[in-house]
Amino acid sequence: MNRILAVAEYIFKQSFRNRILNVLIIFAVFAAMFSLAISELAQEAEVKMVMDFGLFAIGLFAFLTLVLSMTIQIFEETELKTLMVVMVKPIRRSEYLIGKYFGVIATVLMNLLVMTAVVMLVVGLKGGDPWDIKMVTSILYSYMGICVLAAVAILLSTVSTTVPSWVIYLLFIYVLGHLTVHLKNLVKDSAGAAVKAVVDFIYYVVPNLELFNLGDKLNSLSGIFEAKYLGLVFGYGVLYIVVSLAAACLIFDEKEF
Amino acid sequence: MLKRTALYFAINAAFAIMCVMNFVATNDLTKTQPAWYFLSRHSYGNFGQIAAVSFGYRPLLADVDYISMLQYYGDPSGSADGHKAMLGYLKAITDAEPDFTFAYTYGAAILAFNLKRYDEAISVIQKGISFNPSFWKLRFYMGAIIYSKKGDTLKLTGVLEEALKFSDHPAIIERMLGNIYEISRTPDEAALYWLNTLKTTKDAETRKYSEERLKNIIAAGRLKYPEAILKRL
Repeated sequence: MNRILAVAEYIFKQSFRNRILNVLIIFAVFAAMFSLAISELAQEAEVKMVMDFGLFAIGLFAFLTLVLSMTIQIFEETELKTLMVVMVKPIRRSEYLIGKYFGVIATVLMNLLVMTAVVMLVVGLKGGDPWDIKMVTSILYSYMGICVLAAVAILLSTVSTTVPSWVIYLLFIYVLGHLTVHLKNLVKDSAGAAVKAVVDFIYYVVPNLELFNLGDKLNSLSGIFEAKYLGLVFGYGVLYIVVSLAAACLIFDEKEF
Repeated sequence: MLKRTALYFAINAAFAIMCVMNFVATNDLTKTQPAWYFLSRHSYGNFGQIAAVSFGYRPLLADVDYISMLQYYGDPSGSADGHKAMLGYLKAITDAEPDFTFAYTYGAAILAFNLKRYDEAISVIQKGISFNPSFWKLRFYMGAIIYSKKGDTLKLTGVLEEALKFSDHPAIIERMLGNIYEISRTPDEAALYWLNTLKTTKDAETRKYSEERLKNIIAAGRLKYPEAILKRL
C-alpha cells in the first residue's frame, strides 16, 4: 500500500511540476468566470446558465486534465524511458499501475475542486444556492465518470504503442461512451441481428458515460437524482474501475520492454 | 497459475455484474426521459444536437438557443413581422432541453400577453406539460392564457396574482399585472403596486418599467393620496 501511495504522490507532484497543467487550471478558472459574462445575456435564467456552463466547463476541463496528465506520463515513460528506472526498483508492476491511477485521479480532483469553488462562487454571486444538492451531486458524478475514464486510459496505455494512438483511442471512447445509450435505442427496432450484436457489444464493453452525466438532467423532475439510481451508477462505476485496472495489471505484467 | 485463473474468473464475474448494473441503470435512466432524449434517424439533420449529445451536454445548446431567442425578441427589426419566428425558437430550446420549464412559461407569456398569439402559447404550454407533467405551474399558466384569450380580466388578475407568489415567475407577469391594475383599479392602488414591484423585482427591465409607470401616474396628478406613495418612494 505504501508503495502504491508513493507512486501516486510522485505522479501527482510530477503533474504539478509541469507548467502546462498549471496553465490549464488558470484557463479552467477563466472559463468558469466566463459563465458570468454569458449569464448577463440570459435574462431571468442567469443562475441556470451559470450552472449549465459551469458544469460543462468542469466536465470538459477535468477530461482535458486527465488527457494532458496521462500524456505527460506516457511520454516520459516511453520516450524518456523513465519506466525502466521504476522497473528496477522493488515494486510490483501492478502496484506501479494502480499508484499511477491514483496519482492521475488526484491531479484531476485538484483541478475539479478549484473549478467547483469558482462555479459555486459565481452561482452565489448570481443569487443561486451554491450548495444546490443537484449541482453538487452532478459534479460528484462527473468526477466519478472521469475516474472510470481514467481507468480506461490506464488500460489503453498498456496496449497502445504511441502517445497519439492512445489519445485517439481515448477520445473515441469518450464520445462513444456518451452515445451507447442512444445507439442501443437507435437499433432497437432495427431488423439486422448483426448490427444489434455489434451495438450490444459496444454498449456493454465501452463505459456508459451517459449514466454519470447528471448535469444533462439538472432540471429534470424525474427520479434521476434518487438514491436507487445514484447507488446503481456508483456501483457500476466502481466495478468498471476495478475490472479495467485488473485487466490493465494482467496485460502490464506480461508486457516485455 | 491458480492465482491467475482465479483473477480471470473474478474479472469475468465482476464484468457480468457490471453489465447487469449497466442494463438496470440504463432502463432507469431511459424510462424517465422523453422521446427527444434519444437520437433518431432524423437527428442527422441537427448537427448541434448530435454534437451536444456526443460531448454530453444538451442544456448548453438550449441555453444558446435561449439567448438567441432573447436577442431576436429584443431586435426591433423582428417587430415588422410580429416576431413570427418566436415559436420556432421555443421549439428549438425545448427540443434540446424539455426540462427547461422557465422557457415554457416565459415563451408562452410573451406569445400570449405581448404578441397575442394565444394558440401558439397554448401549444408551448401543452408541450411543457407533456414533458413535465408534475410541474403544476404550467397548468396554472395555461389558465391565465385561456382567461386572457377570453378577455376575462377578473379571473386573469386572480391567476396572475397567484403566480406572483412564486419566486420563479417570469418578470413579464409583474409588468402585465401592473398594466391590468392601471386599467381596473384606482391610480393609488396601481401606484402602490408599481412601487412594490420597483422594490422587489429581480429583473432590471421590469425595475426600469415600474419606475417609468410610477412617474407617469404621479405626473398625471390622479393620485388621491400622493404623499403616501412619495413617503415610501
